[in-house]
Amino acid sequence: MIDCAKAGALIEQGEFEKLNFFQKRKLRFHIKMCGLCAKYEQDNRVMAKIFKMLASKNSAKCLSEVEKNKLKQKLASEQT
Amino acid sequence: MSKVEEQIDTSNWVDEYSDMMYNFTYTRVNDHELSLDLVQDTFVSALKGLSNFEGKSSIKTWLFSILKRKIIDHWRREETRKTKPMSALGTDSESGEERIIGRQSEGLISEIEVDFENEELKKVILSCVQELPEKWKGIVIDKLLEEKQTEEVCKEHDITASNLWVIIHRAKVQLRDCLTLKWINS
Repeated sequence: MIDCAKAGALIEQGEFEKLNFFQKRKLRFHIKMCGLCAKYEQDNRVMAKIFKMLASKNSAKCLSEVEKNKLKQKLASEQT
Repeated sequence: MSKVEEQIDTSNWVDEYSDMMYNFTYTRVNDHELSLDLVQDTFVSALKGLSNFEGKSSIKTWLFSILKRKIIDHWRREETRKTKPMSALGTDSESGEERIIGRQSEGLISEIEVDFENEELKKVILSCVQELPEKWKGIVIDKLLEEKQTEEVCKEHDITASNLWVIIHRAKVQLRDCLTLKWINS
């Protein structure tokens, strides 16, 4: 029987990797017994969607010419 | 002036590296002005320490190593400045607390509509990420926001894979509770 910390870690791992048979069995067994981890697993589906949204929205921005010129001026003044 | 130093052309640094350094920083501190400041500080430190640059790595790698240190310093300052940021939620203690919190957050996170246009939700969750303990923040950002490979994150932060999942889980429990508090209950 695994504890909540272990079950939680397996939930996270399972999002990125295929869990093996024993890991899956341990996790399912724990979740059957534990309402809080069952709730977390449910909440986690939403969390996963949110992170997906954030990651794909993490599109790179460029600094403006003004900002770049400021940086250049600062660097030039440091060099003299 | 050392031999390496002579060969380094610093005039193209801003054009060459500032955008990628800015984006890297912005993902980690979630503040435009602050990101610009940290990038500028990095350039200044790099110029001052140019004689220490041995040319063993690329300029880019070297600049990023300075920048990463500055970001971590910033997180640490923030953490000491705030008095136990998440203590209200009680997730900062070792395991066990999570049970209590789970019961408190009765808000239905499953009712949040995750919409790509939902800028407000994005703002809330990113501010929750900033409230994570400094020791978890870099790991969470690398794995969940930058979507880096597990091996890469473990190597960068010098942790084992099983350690990574434990940290990610504890951080996500804190994020869920933060989200519940700020989003659902607002």
